[in-house]
Amino acid sequence: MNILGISSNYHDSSAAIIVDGKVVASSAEERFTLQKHDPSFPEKSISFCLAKAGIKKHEIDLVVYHEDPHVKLSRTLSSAFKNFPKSLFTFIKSATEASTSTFWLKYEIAKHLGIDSKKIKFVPHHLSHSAHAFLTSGFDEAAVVTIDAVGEWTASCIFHGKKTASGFEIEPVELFPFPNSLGLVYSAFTAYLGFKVNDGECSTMALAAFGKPLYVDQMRKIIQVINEDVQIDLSYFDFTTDDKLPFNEKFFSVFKTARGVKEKYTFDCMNDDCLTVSESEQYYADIACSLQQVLEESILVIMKKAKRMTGSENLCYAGGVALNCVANSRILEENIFKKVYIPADPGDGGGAMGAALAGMLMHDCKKGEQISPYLGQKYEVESYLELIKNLDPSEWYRFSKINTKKLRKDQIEVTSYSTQEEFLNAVADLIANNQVVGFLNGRFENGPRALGNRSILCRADNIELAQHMSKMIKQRAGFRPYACAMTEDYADLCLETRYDGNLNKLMQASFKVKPDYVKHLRAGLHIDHTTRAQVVSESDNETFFNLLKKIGQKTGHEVLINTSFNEQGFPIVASPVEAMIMFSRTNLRYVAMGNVIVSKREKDV
Amino acid sequence: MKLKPTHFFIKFITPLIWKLFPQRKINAITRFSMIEKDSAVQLLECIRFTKDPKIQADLFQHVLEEFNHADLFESLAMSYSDKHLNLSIPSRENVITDTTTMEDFLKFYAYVHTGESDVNEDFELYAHASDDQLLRKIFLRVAMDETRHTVGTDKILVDLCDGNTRKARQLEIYSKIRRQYKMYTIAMKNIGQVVFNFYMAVLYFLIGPFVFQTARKQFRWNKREHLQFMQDQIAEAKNKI
Repeated sequence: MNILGISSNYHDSSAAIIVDGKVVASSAEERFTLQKHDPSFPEKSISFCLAKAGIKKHEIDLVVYHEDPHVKLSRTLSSAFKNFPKSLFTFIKSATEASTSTFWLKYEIAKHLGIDSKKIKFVPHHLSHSAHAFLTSGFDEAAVVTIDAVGEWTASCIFHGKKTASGFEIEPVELFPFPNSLGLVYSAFTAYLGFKVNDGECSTMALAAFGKPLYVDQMRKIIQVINEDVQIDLSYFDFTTDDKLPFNEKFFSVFKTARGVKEKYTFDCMNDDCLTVSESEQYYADIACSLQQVLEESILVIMKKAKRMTGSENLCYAGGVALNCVANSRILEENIFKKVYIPADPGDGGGAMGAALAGMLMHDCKKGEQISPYLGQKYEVESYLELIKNLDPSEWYRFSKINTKKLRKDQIEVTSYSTQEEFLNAVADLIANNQVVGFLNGRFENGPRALGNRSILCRADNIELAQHMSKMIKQRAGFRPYACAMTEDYADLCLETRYDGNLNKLMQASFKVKPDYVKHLRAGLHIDHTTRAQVVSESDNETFFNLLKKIGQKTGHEVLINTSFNEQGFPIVASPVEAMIMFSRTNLRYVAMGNVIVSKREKDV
Repeated sequence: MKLKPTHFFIKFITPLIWKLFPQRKINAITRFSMIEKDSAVQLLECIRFTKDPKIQADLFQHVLEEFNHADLFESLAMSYSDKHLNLSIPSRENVITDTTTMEDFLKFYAYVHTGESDVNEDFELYAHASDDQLLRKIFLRVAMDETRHTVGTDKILVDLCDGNTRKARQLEIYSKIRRQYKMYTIAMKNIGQVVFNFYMAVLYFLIGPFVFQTARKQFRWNKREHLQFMQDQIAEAKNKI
């Protein structure tokens, strides 16, 4: 049976395909359109999924959409009329969406795919998330928690997933209805702190590490925990307008004015001594810290409730809030569950896979198994070599966003290696010699984390190099930390605590590094000396594991900074051409892909 | 340059609108950024339609320039704005798809070529729509690049047509007609949206007084009711599947 999952029309559109119970391919649309968080219909992702599965459109048996758009419309219209007569524009927006999209969605999908609309089904948004988390966990039984901004009428939900004689089942046992949404409050504060909603939440989390929890009391008045229940005091917010920040006078009687979007934070996560910033900047860091603390408290309440209601020792967790790796670490530290699983893409980007799995669950689901995060497209580098050799870099410096050097054509060097062993040796040499290397290998990752197949890599002990990478390649704010990839053996040595489960394989939690190892990993650590570690085993990703081993042979430490292969404002690169676009627009000097290294011959960094 | 209706609008109306409504200026420049980025992405897709590495490299260079224009417009819009720009394109037109034939591709590339010459004139006029020196500098810079692109795209188009200039010119005429039709549909859509908004506003005030209590009641549902609703939703979905 061929099941296609689709998520679209909000943010992070994606598609996934299951063939006879096996997830064959999945991708976010942004990887093909280069528009970050692309909300458009995932036409290119669908084409890729079908090609990968080797099936034609008419061979699709079932198409499952990640939410029920009609129920969602009932919420948006109710929200509009609830605030009558102050919500005319919200109403018009909802009505426009309904008339152009919601009412015709099934037929639009059918038209795109050229199939009968009867094959298209809608499933509740949180069921998509829960199916994604549970059916890829490999557990036979688990508490399944989804914490999101909103899906139809639900903000968060607790399910009980179990295997029965007839297959797998997921039953909702508790929910936290909209607008009591932790995700929405976190996003609202993200806007308050000057970051972009649905994009800058990771910046809010990163900023929190520089603050003190001075405003937790005020925060607890907004996010209230009453008898195992999380409630949001909405009297602080005004969600009826899209044009300004969603806060009202009551909010500003407690908190200062919002941080301007052009005001940059000067915190530096790589500098232990640089903690003196302006009073104003510190204030917003304290707000972020207080928010983070109260968010963690609330999540723990939900998790404990999930444990009590299901009696399970296993947790599967998804939804946008599950991307908060600091909160995820708290869940591990509290030891509420013996095993915790979070999929590679727990947010809406994973909605398509969740939808497909929910479809499988409802149809006939006999097995649930852990899946690889490398479900994207693979490209043959050889077919791009002639293009790369013909590139003329003499004008690149005029068209790059950051200051790059003028190059001659003979300064672009393409070196091919006959074996992967030689290739990895060369890459390891470059990295050991303090170079930053863009690394493109095999199928791209599912989700927002680069896990060694579309990564930018460099030594973890060279702070200057990492700062150069932030400024001249990634254009990344200094307060946002990088992550470290390391082998299992090295993780045993350098991390203070190790947990069972996949969280440290998919960069879903941050871990404290032992003091003795801080200097070896400092460029990849946050200000509190934690790292969002990716612990790599040979079975996870053989090529990347071998590279880490070679780095270990050359530097004595099997660890690297692993950051996503993209520049600011762009999604992670998918193809070699996109890698070359970044190569030409930034000061990235080396791109390693296939068994080829493309380099700029300039003076050393 | 002869003054087309759009040129008249840009020259005489736009400066007034931008002065009176600064947000309109930000929106317009943001839209230019999105259009340039979209062009870059579409051109990137074109690379796979030719095996000639020289043409591929020319297309690559063109992509870089379009991305650069997108950056310039984005930073300009951001310099005027006190909030984040809305850079998401709700519905992208996937011009190049897996079923695109070489003939479709040629039509698309001719469309790109005529687009370059059109925007080049427009951008020159936009450069004078504000007193801001930075804005003027950026629009003139982009217009200059687009003028160069017009020559470059013309050459690539002829090359893609295997040197057949007559075919290239035919494609050009066809794409100019297509472009006019597209502008017409966009204008009609905008007019339609205004009419739709008017009707919806009337509807809102007509039915609002009768339904707002029901809407508020739905927000007072207790958890049990919500849970029951979700269970029903799941059961219904299961039945349908």
